[in-house]
Amino acid sequence: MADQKNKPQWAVAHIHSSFNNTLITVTDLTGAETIAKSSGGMVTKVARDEGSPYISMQIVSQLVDRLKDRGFTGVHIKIRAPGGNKQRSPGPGAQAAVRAFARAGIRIGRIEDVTPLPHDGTLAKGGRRGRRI
Amino acid sequence: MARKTTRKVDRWKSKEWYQIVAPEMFGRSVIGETFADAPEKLIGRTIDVTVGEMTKEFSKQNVKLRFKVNEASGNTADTTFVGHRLANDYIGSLVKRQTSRIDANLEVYTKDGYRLRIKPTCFTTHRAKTSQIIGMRKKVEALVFERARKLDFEKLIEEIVNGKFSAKIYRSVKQIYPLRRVEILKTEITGTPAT
Repeated sequence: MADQKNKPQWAVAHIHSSFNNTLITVTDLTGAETIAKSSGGMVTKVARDEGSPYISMQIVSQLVDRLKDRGFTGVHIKIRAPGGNKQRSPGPGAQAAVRAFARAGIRIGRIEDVTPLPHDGTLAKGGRRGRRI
Repeated sequence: MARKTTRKVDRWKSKEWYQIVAPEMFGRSVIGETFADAPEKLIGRTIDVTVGEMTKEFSKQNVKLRFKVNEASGNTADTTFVGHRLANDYIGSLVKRQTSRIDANLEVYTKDGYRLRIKPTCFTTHRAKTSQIIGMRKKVEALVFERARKLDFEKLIEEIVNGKFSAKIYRSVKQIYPLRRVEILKTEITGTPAT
């Protein structure tokens, strides 16, 4: 593990952030081994809060405990919105999660948007004339 | 729940660390670390590294190199180069309204028999006519094929990564229409010489 000074032990935090939930999985650099994971439902029982910034801070604090336990001191961040034919911009939890990592004393490496973008595909839900309320 | 977590911790302790080493053409530097309970499980894992991290140049954060583990021995995992790509947000910053973007998707053979898929892109300063776009694309294709046929795999990758390749395209294609930028969006290695 990272014994050298000033050289953080990197992990990758995959943040999936939609309007209704935030899911964070922390893996190693290859993405093959999961170190820790958490989501809105593991922190709160109130369904409508699962995607909120406050809950995402709590998610991160859960993860940070585990990370520090295992000697990881930095994370690269991969943010993902629902994507596809849904929203392309991340939900309210994403920003808060990144900040919470930084506040908890974890080094932030690269921040990257990995939202899956269609090269054209099926029609988004809501119909041709959009959602009518 | 409690039982589950204890089991997990045990598995964590049984795993060992391996250093991921870049292939020879990239100087065999350590590009990262990973852990596994058996060295066979390392094979097939991929890792993305930016050029900036490998060369300590901070201006080149937008090019990502992808390496795949093909051999694990002792505490090191050896990798092969499997392609490069630009960061999504960087491509997004290049695309502009009222300008043309000329994409090409080419499969080339290098001199030593590697098969590569190369995706060059040109961005013009203003909107070009279709005939100009077609002309430019033809020129790009001809250039890429010619250059690939002349160079070995390692040289070609080096040129692509350090920007010389796109500079060459830029110089000759700008005669047709003024260009803003030329980039190689992506390369993939689709075949190695039969050995």
